Amino acid sequence: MQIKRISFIIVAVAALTFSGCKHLEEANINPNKMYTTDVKLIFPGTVYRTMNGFANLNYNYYSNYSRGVSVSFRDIGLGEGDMDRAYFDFYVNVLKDLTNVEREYEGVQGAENRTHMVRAWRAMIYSIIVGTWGPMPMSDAISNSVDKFDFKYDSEKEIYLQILQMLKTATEGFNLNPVTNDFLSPDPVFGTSSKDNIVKWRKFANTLRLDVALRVENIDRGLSEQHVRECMAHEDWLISSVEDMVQPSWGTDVNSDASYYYDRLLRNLTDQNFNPNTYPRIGQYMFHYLQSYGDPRLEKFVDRPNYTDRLAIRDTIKINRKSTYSGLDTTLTVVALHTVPYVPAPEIPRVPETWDVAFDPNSNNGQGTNKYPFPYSGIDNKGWAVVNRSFLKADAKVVFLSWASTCFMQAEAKLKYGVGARSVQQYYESGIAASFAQYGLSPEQLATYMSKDGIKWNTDGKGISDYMQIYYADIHGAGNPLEQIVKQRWISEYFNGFNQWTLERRTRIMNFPPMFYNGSAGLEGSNNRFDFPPERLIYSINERTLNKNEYDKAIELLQAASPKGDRASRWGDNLWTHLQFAKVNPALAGAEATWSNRIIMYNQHSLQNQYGKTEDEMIQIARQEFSGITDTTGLKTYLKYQIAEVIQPRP
Amino acid sequence: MSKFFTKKNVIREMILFLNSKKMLFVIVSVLAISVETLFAQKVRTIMGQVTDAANEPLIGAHIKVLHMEQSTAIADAEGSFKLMNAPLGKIQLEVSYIGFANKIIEVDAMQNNLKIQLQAGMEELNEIVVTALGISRDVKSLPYARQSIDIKDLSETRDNNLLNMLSGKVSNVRFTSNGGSLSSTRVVIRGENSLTGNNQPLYVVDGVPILNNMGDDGDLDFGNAASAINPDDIESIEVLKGANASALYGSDAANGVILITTKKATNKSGLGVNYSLNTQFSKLSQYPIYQNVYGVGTNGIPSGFNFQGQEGFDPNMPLHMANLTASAFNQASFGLPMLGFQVIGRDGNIKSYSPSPETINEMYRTGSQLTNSLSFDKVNDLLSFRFSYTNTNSDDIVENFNKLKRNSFNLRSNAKLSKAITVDLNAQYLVDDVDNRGFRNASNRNPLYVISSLPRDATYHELEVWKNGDGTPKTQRGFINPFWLTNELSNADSKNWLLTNLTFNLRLTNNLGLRLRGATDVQRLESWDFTNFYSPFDLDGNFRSKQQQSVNNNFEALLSYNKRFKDFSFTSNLGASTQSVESKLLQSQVQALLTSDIKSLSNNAGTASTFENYSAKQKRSVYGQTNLGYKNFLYLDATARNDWSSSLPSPHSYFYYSGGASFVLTEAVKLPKQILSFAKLRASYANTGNDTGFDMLLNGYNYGGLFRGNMPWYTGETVGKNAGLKPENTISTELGTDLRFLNNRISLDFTYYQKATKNQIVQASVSAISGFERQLFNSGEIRNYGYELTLAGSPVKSKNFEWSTTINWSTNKSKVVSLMEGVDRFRLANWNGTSVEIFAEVGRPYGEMYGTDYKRNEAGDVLVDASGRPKSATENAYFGNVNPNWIGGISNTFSYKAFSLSFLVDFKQGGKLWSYSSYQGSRYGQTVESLYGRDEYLFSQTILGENDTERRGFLEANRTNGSDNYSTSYPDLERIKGAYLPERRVYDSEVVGLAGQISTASLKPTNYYADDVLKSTRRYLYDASYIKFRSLSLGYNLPKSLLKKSPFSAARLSLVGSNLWTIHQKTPTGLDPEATTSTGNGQGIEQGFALPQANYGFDLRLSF
Repeated sequence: MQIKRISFIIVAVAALTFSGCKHLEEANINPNKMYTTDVKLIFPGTVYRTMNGFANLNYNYYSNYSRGVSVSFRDIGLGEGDMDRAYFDFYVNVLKDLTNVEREYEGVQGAENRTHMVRAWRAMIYSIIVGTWGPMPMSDAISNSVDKFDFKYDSEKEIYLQILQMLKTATEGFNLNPVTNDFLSPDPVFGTSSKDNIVKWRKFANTLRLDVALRVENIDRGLSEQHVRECMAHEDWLISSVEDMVQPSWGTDVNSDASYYYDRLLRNLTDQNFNPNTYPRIGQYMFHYLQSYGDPRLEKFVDRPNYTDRLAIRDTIKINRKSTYSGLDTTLTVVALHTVPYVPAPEIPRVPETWDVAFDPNSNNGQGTNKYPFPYSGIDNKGWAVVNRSFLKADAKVVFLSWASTCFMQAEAKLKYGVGARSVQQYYESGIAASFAQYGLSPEQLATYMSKDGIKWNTDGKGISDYMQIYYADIHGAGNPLEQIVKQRWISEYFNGFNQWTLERRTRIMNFPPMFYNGSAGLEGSNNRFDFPPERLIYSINERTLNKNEYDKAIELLQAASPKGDRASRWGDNLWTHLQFAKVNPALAGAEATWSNRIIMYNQHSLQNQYGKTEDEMIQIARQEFSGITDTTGLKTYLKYQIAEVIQPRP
Repeated sequence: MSKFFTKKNVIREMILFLNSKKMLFVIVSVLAISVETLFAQKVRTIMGQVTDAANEPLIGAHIKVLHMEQSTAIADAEGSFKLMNAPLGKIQLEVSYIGFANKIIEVDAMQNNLKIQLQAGMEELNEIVVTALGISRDVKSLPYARQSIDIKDLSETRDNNLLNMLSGKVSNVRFTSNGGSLSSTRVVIRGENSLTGNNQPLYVVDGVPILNNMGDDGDLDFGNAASAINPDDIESIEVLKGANASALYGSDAANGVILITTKKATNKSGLGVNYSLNTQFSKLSQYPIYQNVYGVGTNGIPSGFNFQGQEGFDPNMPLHMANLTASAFNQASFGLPMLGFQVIGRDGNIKSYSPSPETINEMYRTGSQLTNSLSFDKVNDLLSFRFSYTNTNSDDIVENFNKLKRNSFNLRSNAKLSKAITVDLNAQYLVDDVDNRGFRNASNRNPLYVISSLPRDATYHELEVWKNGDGTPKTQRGFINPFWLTNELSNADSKNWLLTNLTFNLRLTNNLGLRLRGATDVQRLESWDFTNFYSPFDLDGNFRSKQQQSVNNNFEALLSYNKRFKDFSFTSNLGASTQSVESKLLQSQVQALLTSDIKSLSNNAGTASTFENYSAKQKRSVYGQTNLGYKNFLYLDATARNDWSSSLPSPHSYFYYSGGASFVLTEAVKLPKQILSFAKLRASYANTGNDTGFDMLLNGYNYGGLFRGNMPWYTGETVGKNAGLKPENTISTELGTDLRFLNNRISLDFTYYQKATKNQIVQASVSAISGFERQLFNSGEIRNYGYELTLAGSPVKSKNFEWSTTINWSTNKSKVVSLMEGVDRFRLANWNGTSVEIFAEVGRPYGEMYGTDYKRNEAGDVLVDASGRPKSATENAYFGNVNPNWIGGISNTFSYKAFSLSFLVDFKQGGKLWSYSSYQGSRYGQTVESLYGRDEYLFSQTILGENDTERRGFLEANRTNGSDNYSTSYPDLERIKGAYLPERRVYDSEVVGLAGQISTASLKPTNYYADDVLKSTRRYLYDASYIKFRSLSLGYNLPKSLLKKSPFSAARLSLVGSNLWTIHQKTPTGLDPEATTSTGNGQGIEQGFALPQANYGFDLRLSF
């Protein structure tokens, strides 16, 4: 009996144990998770996060490297672990989802267009990745396998071949009239829910292909030409209006989709905590090109500081006077003090190590015992020309591909390979016009600008210099069409530091001076005094431990293909190794002799004449901004105008 | 009997219950009633008196029938007791009293009035202890180490966090508080088993495994459940340290078990009512030592003067006076010497630029903690119950901070349904309401951290007004006012915890018992936190509300069999259990408020984001344990268990087992008790499996957010799941001895163990190229081995005076044997990217710390650039291991007549701690160390007007006739002109013209103390060894004679204190060597940890 009772209990216990087993499977299902791959629900997030990832690199690295925008706290340096986030932003946050969607939809009937859209977007990300780091994993990335630990880095050429092929497939594969609703609705890149967007996607894919094809010229000219020709064979498949531009925008909801820049810069900004070292300011070189040629885009690129915060400078002004009695011309030339709306950010430091500032012969009442004063000393934190808020606001856009650059690409294609229906000049001029249209400037402004020497086709222009007089914003356009095309494209790509940086590395047209340090730059391979902008970013330091074998091979690939390698610094994974697509920086030769010792004479050329050259002009220009200015009293109020000395009184 | 088995419907329903657990109690009741009729048995009452050798009554002596938990009694004021419910026939009684040897006496069937005399001395050897699954066992038969924690002072020297009071009381258990009594406490027994997973022990309260998730949540910590258990209700705490001891609790117990048993009703003299009042005060016991020479400023006072156009310009204030409201003045004290000149203060009024060392004292006040506790005990023939209520109100050392209201209720009841069936109903209900739980670590929201980093001239008075009329902060340019934090930031939370179980004990035969238990553990947390609009670090504010609920249901059936055959004893248990856990979290957040002050999700400038989380686990288990004894000296023990866990892939199953033996030498061979009173050798082996957490098998997509108002998006997971996971496996062996000497006057307990956990389920970092940040794998192995030693004894013992002491010491060594293929280290934690990192590294102990250091040549000299500033090395330098070499504690109790004095000292040797607070103190120029070179620099820079080149030891070209800058040495080369490194410096090879030469350049103090600190984080690395005077209690039992006329049957008054004194530390003053940033596996980093505090107060206990 007892045994029977025990066996009952054992049976009961066993039943207790096994009865629920079939529920064990269900108990491990997460009800908050989606286990299927749906492009409509996944693609918008990848676009949003591409923008964030790109903006992070743009703000922290591309800006300074492009010399178009200055974020001075970043300089060119970077910490060992800084690239971990960039890898994460691209591979984990974006490429994994895109790749999985593409794999899921590949070959699915009725989903061809959407597959090509995802493909084009993925190709664009890889075009940024390869242009930033050089050899990177592409064919081997996103494994979806728990047993894979090594990820091969493709060579630059292998990556470009894949990108070009993907874009060719996409361009040729779009079906403008799908039977099913095979388009994105809504479309996170072009907005709206229309199937008309398919045309834009095709233009996107073809234009990107043209851009990448031009970029590979230094790697394989034949490859470049082949793809350029194919792209140019369908010029109507290239971006040809502002509406066509690939410029997705963030949203306005500060709690969910506001821009990276808003979160980083504006969200916690007050009047009191503004910091010019972290806030992006227009770079001095970009400013000099704009200022030299009276470029009206300056207004669109920067915000003017409040007049109370502006820097007062010394300017030479003519005061036109004609005696009402005698009719004699008593025009004066004076040194006037007044504030200026635009003060571009100088690159630091003020005086490079081993350089010196010259003594100003006029100083100290002609005794010449004082050095030239630093032209920006005493500037208020808020007195700088900062990047226009339209680039930073919550629903700002990221311009990945613009109409203007497309025109400049066509100009370059025509120039180099003779393809295209129009002339190089026509493409060049329509590029400038497209840029003006992008910024909503008037045809009159365009006409005035186009008439300037250096801007006008096949002319030379003389530009102003920076405050150390080591660079002049000249444009040598006569007989040198590529310089005009490249410089205009560089201007039109303002705030897309990646495109500017890439353009310069492959052409070396801008030919900027190096950046300077005083002391340790904290980077191996730096000479600790001056360096040219980095040629690439270093790989994620995590790779050194997590993907060691392939990482080592990647460095070999990088160095083997580089036109100017650097195997020594930082075990070969450094900032200075030129990528394969780049030209060797000609300024490197003799740089030590050129930049080691100098005596500099500071100047304020770029700050002067912002209100014209005469008092009348000054009143006229200032009146556009301050309606109160009708005479010198107004100038005194708003521009803190005062005459310091009279230079040349005329009888 | 047959009647029972004809009830087929019962069986059917039993099976039904097995599918639907709701039926449990119905069925159990039916079963119980059925069995009841079968095992009717009579009881008797035994009376008697317990005295000491001098025939003095031993009030409170404990009498119980051996192997029968329900039959107990307590001796009253005359030492008399009345033991109800004693079984008929020959039985064994166990009589115990603190400070006296336990006595086991045989009582004949007819013997009902006893006179029992106890001998003062060590506890007797027939110790019965509660082991796994609540099975009481004779210590002799245990093949593994166990240790009970001395709990007698817990309710006197009380802390709101139970676990924080246990440090030093038990060998090889490390308690790490996350800061303050409301935070979580990390507990690691015998080192870390898991590389990246959970290393916390299993907590079992009255036989029920509880959920004990750590409460870290960003800069808040909501505490863990085990910390909140009321010490007044605790009867005993047992620590089962190894996998050996815990094999029966299953995989959750792989890291050890802490068994907590709450108090049961006992037959008390008087009304059975106990009341206690405990009041404690807390004060800071250490402040960091600050410099009081230099005031606020970043490089002297170069900017930030009061004139038109400058920020913060006030036309009513003197022109060109330094204006501390400008952004040039932040937290940094790199200004001028505080000579008392006038400046415009942070409140806009003129003040003197003078040291204000008293500010930090004024910011803090005395914290308080008041606890009332009331309990009722009632025991009669059929029913016993104990009900207690404890109420705590506490407040921290900063106003309006960490305000806790805790109410806890505890019920333990036992009813005798029949002679063979008893039922226990236990319930514990806890409500915690906290206002302004302290934000932790170096969070901008943490006022304690901000207070400790105030500039040296900041006065309490100038900070008191923190807000302008329009709601904006009074001072906000680069400076955070702690008053803003304590007044404009707030949070509140409410925690409810119900832990209840219903247990039926059935005696099926004299040798066979069945226990059926159903238990539920429901934890609920509701919280919100608010950062007001205009907060300097989050201008548009933040509001978050959170609801979290976890339910943990356990059902268990255990069949026990005991039998003696002549020289053999046999004990066996067979059980089955099911556990189901479900947790839900709903969190809504507004990241940009619309306006000030409104603490609501509707105060929203955008869309509130809502986040939902869910996890669940189901487990089924069968297990068995058996112990065979021979002649009271040889015992063999074996366990086996199979688990089925929903967290593992099909078939969900894993099996594991253990075995052991103990040999009692003193029972086998006759030895003189005066020399060796007891000797036991034990050995055991265990193989334990372990499952994993929820949702670790399949990848999917999680909701990411809403893009541009009409595009909700999902995104893939960052942790790669693994559908092929296998259970983890821990193999451990243990050897030990229990030795007692000199008539049990001295006892020595020694254990050696080693264990290895293989096939670990790790979340390992993988290359981001894979698409994942981390990936789940089965890989890696950690080995731990160590020694534990507990020495106890009574060095002095006389009639009125006794000193007893217990010393425990333990060491654990670990080694990471392997990680994943091709991976030689995992990062467990880091600070600021790669500046300081903690790793698990193959071939090294767990928790290796690395960090930045200067670039050096072979000779170890620091390599510097042309300006003499050190360069940083590319590779991080080895800092040491974060784990201690050994830990231990010494507790002492002195009793003299009615007085008793006890104290505990605990210590830790070794282990590295990296301090962010020290780093920040240097960066802000607050530490005394940051003074070196400042005066010299001031003299050189401001008085002599020397420039940087001259401070480097050269004359500039234009000051000499030379043309080269470095050609002429400065005649005053030897004079120190600023800060300098303690180490020799050599110019790096890249420095043109100076490479390889020794540098004597003086550095600008801000460069050295602030700008270059990341180049060598080693500067803030400390040895975390300490000796702490942990707790003190001085008690006095009021004499009976005094109480005779009072309503009280007993009264005791104690003076108590805890954390009163850090006897030894190697960290700077104000930096707690036990500091941490999280309860996770990456220890060794401090980041704004709370300053050390001491508590003191009194405790009054009354019995009615």
